Amino acid sequence: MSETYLVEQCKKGDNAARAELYKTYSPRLMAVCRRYASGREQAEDWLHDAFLRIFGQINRFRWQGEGSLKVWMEQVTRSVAIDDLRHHNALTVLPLDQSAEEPMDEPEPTADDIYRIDEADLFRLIGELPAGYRAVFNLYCIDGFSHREIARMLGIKEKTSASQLTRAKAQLAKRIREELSKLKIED
Amino acid sequence: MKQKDWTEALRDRLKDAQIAPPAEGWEEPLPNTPLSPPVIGGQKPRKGVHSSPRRNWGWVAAATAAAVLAAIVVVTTTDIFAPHKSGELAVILESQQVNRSTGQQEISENLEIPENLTALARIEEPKVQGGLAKRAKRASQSPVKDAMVPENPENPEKPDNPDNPEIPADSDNSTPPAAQPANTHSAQSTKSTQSAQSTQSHTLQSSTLLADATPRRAAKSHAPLTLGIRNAGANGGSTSVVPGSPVFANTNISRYYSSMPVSSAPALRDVNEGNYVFNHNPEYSLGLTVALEPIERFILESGLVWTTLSSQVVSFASTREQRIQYLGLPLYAGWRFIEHGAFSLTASAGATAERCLSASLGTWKQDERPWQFSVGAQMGVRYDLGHNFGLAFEPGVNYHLTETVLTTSRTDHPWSLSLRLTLQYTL
Repeated sequence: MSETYLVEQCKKGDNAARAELYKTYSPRLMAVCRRYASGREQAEDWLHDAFLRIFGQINRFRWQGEGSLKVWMEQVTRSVAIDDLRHHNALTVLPLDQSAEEPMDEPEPTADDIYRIDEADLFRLIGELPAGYRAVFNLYCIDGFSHREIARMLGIKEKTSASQLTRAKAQLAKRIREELSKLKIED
Repeated sequence: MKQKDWTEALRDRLKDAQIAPPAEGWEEPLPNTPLSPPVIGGQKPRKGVHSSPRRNWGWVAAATAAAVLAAIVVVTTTDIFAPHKSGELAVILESQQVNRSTGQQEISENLEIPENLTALARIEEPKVQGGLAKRAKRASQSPVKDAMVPENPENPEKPDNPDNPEIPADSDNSTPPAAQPANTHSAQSTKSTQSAQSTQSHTLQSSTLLADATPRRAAKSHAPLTLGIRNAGANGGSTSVVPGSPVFANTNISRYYSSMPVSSAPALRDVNEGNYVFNHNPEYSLGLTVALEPIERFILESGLVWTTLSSQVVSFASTREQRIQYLGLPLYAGWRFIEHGAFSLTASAGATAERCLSASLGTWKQDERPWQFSVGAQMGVRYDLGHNFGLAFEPGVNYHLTETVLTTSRTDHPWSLSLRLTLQYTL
């Protein structure tokens, strides 16, 4: 089915179209949820909520070309994740061990290092970051938002967004290094 | 060739990644119902999921706003809540006092009313007199309540009926300085004002408002946001300003002026020069509030709200600003619906208790009731500042349960619009 046909049928409440929409886009949206979540269980909850919101708001969607549906659905999914994090104040809570200044001199991994790690492990490593760091990292590095946009979306200041990104990158770099060390040992 | 940054590599790997969805997948399709969300993976919609209910809340918000607007239109175009009959004016004569215990009018033997005060009493508009005649009749039937009105207009010094000692609590029945020897009024001047008997009766009966707890008058208001009831005057207009007579709806102004030598009271000097009009400014509030969200989207809010009521008291010769400041303790319950980024739309209703902090007319202090109570509803926009702080701008409609002694926008219209800006902290 084409995107436009799929959308029109979903607007009419056609469950077959909804099923097709779910089948087509759920893997991608599941990956989006997994990036923002701390674990798979949370990601599945968000995926479920995302589709409910998508079906509820499908009447507001205006098709604007190939790929616009995918972009819109990712936006909705991202909103579900961020709203849930904000609602639970997860974005403003720092772990106790984060109260001290983060060491910023951690050597950064290379692009090759990233390709040596499994995709599932990369999701896991990102999921181990504190919620606030994780959200900022995903929004900036993966989804390409600016600090100003991130600040508005998360309800924080731009400076906070920038400092959280620095800390997120430092922590993630450290975890990637540790993961690579494990891989070397196993090799 | 510049080596790719590790974050760029991470983006390339994860941006278009796919992960298998939950194993339950899609349940059997439900009947085709456009608005019912399907059941996905055997799970019912989670609590707090904002799917189609969000759209419904938008309609609820629109319906609420329409209902509030309709209520305002109904209230402003009808006399449903009109507290007073039309055609009543508030004209106050100095140097009159009411003995609270007996309800009798005490007119100082030394009362002397100079010419300019005579001009106070002169009422030239027959239409207005019609309205005042009704009041005179009513006053004569309840002489103590209109304690200034003598049974026989020709003998104004005849004591009033002491049998009905009902005196409104808020009238200042303490002996004003006007009755002190410093006042230069004399009985002879009093008698001189009696020559025009109908005028006198109108004058005296109008001074009943000193004892009247509810001196309401439709002030001419230029404030675009001050909506409410406008008492249609006997002249058919929405203002009670009558050429040739001053309009003091504010008993306390008269009481204050009476404490000064008549010739030096600036307002009285202006008497002959025209009329007084109260122009009420919109009511503004600033506040700090704390909100509690015991249930998702349901908000309980309280805090401190500072409100200023200001009015321009305008005459031909002068303009003075009347300013009254309140510190309010609101208690509101509301609902937060429609969220978009940091913005959210909220609707709430509740009650407010306000403590009067200060009241002044120009440089003179005035008395006002210490507490004012009101109920209201408001709808507005909240901007999330982060760290549980938010800025809320909420226009609202209020109904004031207690009346101000001074003439304010709330006095003339118990219904009022208010603009409230609050810094809100959500627990």
